[in-house]
Amino acid sequence: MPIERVSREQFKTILGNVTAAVSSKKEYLSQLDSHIGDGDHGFGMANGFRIGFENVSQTPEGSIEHYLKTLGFSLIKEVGGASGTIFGSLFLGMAKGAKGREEIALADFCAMLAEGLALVQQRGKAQPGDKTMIDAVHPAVASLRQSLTEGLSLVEAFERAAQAAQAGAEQTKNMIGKHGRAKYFREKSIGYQDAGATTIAVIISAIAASLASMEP
Amino acid sequence: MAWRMKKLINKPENLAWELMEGLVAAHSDNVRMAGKHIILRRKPKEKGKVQLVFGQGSGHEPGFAGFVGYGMHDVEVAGQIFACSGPDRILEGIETAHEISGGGEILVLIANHEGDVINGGAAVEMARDEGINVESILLYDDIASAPKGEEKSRRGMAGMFFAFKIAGALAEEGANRSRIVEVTQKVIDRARTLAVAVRPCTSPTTGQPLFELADDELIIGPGVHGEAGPEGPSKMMNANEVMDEVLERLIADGEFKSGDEFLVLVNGCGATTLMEMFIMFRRLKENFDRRSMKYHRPLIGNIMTTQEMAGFSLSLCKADEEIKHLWDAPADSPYFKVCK
Repeated sequence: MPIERVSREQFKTILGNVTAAVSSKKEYLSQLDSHIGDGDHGFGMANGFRIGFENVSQTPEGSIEHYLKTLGFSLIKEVGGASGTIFGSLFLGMAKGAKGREEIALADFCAMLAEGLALVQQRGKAQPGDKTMIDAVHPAVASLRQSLTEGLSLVEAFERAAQAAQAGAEQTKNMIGKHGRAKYFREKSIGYQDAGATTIAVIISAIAASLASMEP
Repeated sequence: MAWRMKKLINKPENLAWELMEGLVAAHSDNVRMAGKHIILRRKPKEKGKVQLVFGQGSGHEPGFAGFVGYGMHDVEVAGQIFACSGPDRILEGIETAHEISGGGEILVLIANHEGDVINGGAAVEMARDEGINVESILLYDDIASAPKGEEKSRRGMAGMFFAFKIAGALAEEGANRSRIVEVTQKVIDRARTLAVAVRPCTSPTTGQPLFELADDELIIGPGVHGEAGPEGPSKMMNANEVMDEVLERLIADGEFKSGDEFLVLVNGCGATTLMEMFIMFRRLKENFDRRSMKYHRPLIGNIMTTQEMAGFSLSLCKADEEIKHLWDAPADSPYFKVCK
């Protein structure tokens, strides 16, 4: 039987795996950032997730909403810059979508990520196509919605969402930077993949792998 | 050849905190720390005078934590290396200013960089929700980062120092906030900066160089985080050639005319010697004499650095009597003093 929903404890495990995945990719993510940014994106993210997950781990009680809030606020506090606040907002938005949920099913994941995307856009004012992390979140949300209507399992849905996020991140190579330090490179930013979008691909792929490992 | 970082640091994740602790310990007569990330004047301004708050990434020392003090700004919220603090910490800085001033007017200076704008803007909104009387002003001056006509999209670079000095002097004189905003905006409108890098720096966080540059090349228009500019490398120039080029571009962009008088800042990016800066300033004077332009009390030295990047930026601000008067006003901060 494929799993249909994850518990609070399983969700915590997923956040731990996401943290480990971001940490293992920190050099790669920083290297992407070095072309059209200041080359520390992966290090900042890895540090923020590490502290964020420590904070999550130190609260044995608490809900999924609470875990997401803790992680979101930690990223805002510890990473700083645009990326800390933007990635923090993603998790704070997801927390809103997880409000009152003891367990998370595919429909909940859909709602959470959509709330996360909305808060990111509200805060950062970026649109799809602006060469930002939104270019990976947006297709991932669309893919999860599609999987929901097609009645796919949670694992299948996240495998597809991970592919969609990865494809979205790769698409940013063709885009002109409109935000952050990439903006100043104008058309010279074409050819470089956005580090933030790639981090989203890493995160969603880590969620997919965690879910797959939870299948009996 | 593999790049190897050589810096006298401890753990990369503690850089910002350790440097602020050192700075404050060394200048404890002048500044003090509130919490882990907020630097304040040891002797605050009198109540009723406008408090100036600034938050930006660290790694640009002495800018701008080294300029907290009399006649300058009141509260600095120190961020991580090259990353502005999140809104919660900037909010703490605003709340601290609110307490010091007994509920008076607060002005937040925001350098025009995405993170600073997002986080500073959010902090100002949060403070207003708490009933704090706060406004913000955006600082920008780098002509390489957006074309003429799109000045508000330009990055905040070393020319922001003019705005700090002028706003600080006005606040010290007891001007109200709307007056400070008006004059500071005039300074921003008249200020132009252009940077040149001749050797990249290493990110102290990652240990990697921030960009690559051949031995016979320089870059015109890099950012304060070592971001290579939109323009790509040019052939290496000597001091006279590079000063001629930079001045030409600044004067054209600012539509400066003969007879104009300027505040001038020759800012070292970190690894450029005073020797080089003086040689370039000498060329600036030759150019100014030829064009019948004047400068008023120029400032030459490391004001806003980018680690050990070699290079400089030139900032000009077209002065009037008011600007000159405020530039000359007394200041007493750890790294910038004007005697009475």
